[in-house]
Amino acid sequence: MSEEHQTEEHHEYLEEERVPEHSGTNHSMAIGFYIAALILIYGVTMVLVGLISPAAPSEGDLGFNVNLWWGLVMVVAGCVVLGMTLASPRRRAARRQG
Amino acid sequence: MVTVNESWIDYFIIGVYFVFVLGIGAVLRKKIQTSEDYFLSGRSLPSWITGLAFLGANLGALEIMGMGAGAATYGIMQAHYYWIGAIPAMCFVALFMIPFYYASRVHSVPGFLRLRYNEATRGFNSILFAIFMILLSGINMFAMALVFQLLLGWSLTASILLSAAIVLAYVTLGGLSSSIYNEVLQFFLITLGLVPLVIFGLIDVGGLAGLKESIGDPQFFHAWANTGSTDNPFEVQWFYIVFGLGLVQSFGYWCTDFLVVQRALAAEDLAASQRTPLIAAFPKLLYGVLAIFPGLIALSVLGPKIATAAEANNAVPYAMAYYFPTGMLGFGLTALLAAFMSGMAGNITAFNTVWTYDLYKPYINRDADDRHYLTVGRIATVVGVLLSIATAYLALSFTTIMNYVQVLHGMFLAPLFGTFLLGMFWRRTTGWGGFTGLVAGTSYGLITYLISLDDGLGASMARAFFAWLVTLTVTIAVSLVTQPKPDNELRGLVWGLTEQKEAREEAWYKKPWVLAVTVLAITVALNIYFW
Repeated sequence: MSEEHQTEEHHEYLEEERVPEHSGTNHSMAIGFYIAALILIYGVTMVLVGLISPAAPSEGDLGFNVNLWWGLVMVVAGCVVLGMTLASPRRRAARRQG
Repeated sequence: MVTVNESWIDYFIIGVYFVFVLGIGAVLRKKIQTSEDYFLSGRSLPSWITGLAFLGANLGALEIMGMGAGAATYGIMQAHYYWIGAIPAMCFVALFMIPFYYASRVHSVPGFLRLRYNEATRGFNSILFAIFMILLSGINMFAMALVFQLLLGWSLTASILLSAAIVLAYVTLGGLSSSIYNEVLQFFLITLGLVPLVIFGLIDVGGLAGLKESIGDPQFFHAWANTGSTDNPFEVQWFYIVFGLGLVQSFGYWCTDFLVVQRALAAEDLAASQRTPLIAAFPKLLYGVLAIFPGLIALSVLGPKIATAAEANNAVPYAMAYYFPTGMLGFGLTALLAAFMSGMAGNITAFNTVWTYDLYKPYINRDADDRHYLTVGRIATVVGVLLSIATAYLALSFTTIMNYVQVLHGMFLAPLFGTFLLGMFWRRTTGWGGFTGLVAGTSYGLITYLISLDDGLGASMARAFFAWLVTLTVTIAVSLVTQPKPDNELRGLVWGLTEQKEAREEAWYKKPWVLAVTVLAITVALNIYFW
């Protein structure tokens, strides 16, 4: 029982000590940018591959430039994630406070 | 064997992923000091993040490769694991369990068992859990190795060793301090990787009608129609699908797997916490399609290449190699690797935690300083990865990895679910009642499996159901003849002795029951469509 009590106290201590970087707003912003960045890098890479060197067709080739078109879809998806992150009400609220 | 024309572009794409994952891990590790911080992130995340992370934590080798393999072996019935085998339990967790977990002191399974039952129950469960994690981690490692084998053309052994090295690097370089980041990312990667596979495949085979025609087995396209008898691919009647899978296996997994439940507890408030499993349930429905169809498409276009059981495991990566050119292929395989790596890292970390804090500390060396336990944990990580190499080979001996995991769930999770359920809802349950019930149910699952060695999915459903019944019966019987715990020891652990707050949510479309009814209605519609 006493051991359990100690853990409880330990948690409270952390609550007080928690620095602003750990706040959910910052995490969710960072997660949004992180994901948007990676999807955009992949999308742009695939578009470039599709434009510069239309790859050797795969076995089940359907006759269209997969890298170019799906790369574009990914660029759009990356922009949507980025836009939503930038426009999020949390970010605006955080800005007003700051 | 399917081979691919690998190129530096594919390696570049995979390389970028590792740079990102290790980079964010290194950045976050500096800021995050405690494990509490990175698992719960200060309980401050919005529900869309915890919801996608909840699903990301669930999407491992089993949910992608295993389901694809199952679909290639059993057809559309495999979708039961996504629909009836997940959605009702996810709704139940959201509506009833999350408020309870939020209000009680329950943060881990062994912790709950020690407080609610006794030390013996906790010890027994900890040992089982450690073994379970190593077995699951082997499956993720095996799946990862299959992808490397396909991509690099190495032998399975070399691919397994490479996977082991990568996971070890990922865990030691702080990959887990960014687990929520990577789980949300994983959701996007897998979706963007599987959607084109299903679209291209369906265009190629001529839609659902073309797929039916080329596979030529009408039973492969019925989820329920043939379950009045055992004359269906699962060889099981509807009763075991509903109660074995839909009740015991599924509720057991979603209610007690804290690798997943923890994600919901990281949400900013109780309402967001309750919404987490429900937000995850919608994409989960979609994944029933995204994981099942690549398996069916692979069966249709690659037929003989995935006819043997071992090759069925490869259905999804083979389908990718078949449809995706260089570039797209690198991306698709990266999405798979991401899922398997974080799945395995999660298993290894859970193993290291349970070994260090639930076995080593209480039973072997009680009074050492924190640094000592940290070292023990690090050694456990290395040992865990080495043991997983052995269990990766074990995964090879089963029909598919899907069959293997279901055998394990029947033994490990079904009895535990019985113990949890009684402990939480019946205050008369005693410490020794819980212990003997758990031991009896687990032994039942293990012994009946070893006698029959039947790893069919239907057999696993039935075994799980009976293991659960054995646990319930023995726990109730022993509880009635042993001394119950006084109420004050059960406060915060038993329903009715735990004060729960009502979640406040103004927006109607965010109310848990609205989301739950919607997702259940879609589930029913899908089951009717694929009747």
